[in-house]
Amino acid sequence: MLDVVYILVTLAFFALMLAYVLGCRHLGKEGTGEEDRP
Amino acid sequence: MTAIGWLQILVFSLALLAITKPVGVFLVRVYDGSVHWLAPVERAIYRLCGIDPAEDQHWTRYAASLLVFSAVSMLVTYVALRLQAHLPLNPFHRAAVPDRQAFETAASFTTNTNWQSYSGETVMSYLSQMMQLAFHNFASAASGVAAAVALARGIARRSGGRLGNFWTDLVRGTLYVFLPFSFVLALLFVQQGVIQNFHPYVTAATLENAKQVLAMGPVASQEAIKQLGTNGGGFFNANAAHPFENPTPWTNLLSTFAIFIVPAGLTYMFGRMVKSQKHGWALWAAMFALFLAGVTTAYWAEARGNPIHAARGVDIVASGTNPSGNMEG
Repeated sequence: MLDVVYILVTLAFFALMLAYVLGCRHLGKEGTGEEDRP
Repeated sequence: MTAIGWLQILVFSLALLAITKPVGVFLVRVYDGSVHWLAPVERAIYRLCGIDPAEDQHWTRYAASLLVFSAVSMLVTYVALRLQAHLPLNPFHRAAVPDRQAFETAASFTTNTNWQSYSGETVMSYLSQMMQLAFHNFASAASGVAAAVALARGIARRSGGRLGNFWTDLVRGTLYVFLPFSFVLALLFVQQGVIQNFHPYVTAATLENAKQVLAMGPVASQEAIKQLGTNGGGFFNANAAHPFENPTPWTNLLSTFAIFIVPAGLTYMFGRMVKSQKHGWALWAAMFALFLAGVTTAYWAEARGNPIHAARGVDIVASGTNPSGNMEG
């Protein structure tokens, strides 16, 4: 039963991607006044 | 190679050139919300899914929405393929898709890669074909185009990092582009003889009196979005070399053209959105140059025929009754 492994691999991959994207929140806000927002 | 073959490539290219602007303008109008003839359906989907269509997402939120959508739809497909034996619309009692193959198929279809490692007619139930694979044919195309639209907005807006709303882009692309186009194309396919049914497979006797099982199924509906969404996973293992999937020269031309419609329009849409139409045409020209290099090489290679066939007496020379070459179908 490798099902659990495949599901966990999928979740881990997307979690990693999400963490990366959300970690970049500060990018793209330069010069817009948004960088000071909480 | 024949004059009519070259003429077909020329006519195809001119037709592609002709539809680029109208499709591009249509795409601009779809993604800026000007097209709204299905507004009640659109609003119902937003309400049901808790989407605020007015939200202008920061690029990180846009990307996160795309990732969450992909993760959920991939997992649903994986689980559905694994549970196929217990789900409805499985008249031939297909067993669960093996775990590795289910994972590969789910990942591949979610990302619009569509690597078809299975033989559709012997592995997949009708439900898996229609609700998993055809669903991803729509969703991966619509989310891919959404990403292209977001890229164009990012370039056009230059600063601020806000790219629109992934959910509205996904819904609009599906509702106004892929669903109506696919509906019309599927009807054209059916008119030409592509099958669309839920019949049991047919057992036929060949001329040599052998038994041959002919696979049936809802093929036209899946083929239409397969081509329009630049997907790759068809109903049958042989895909467009199968006579029930691609029965006539007309379906072959329609299929080929359908693959190009949205990508060609996207180049014009890009030019319009970034307010530099030349930029859009430059993208079109770059894509067309690659296509031309590919199609002329493939035509040259296919038209030469197979020397092994020729050595065994098969006629591979073009004539009034023989298209010549290495005809797979």
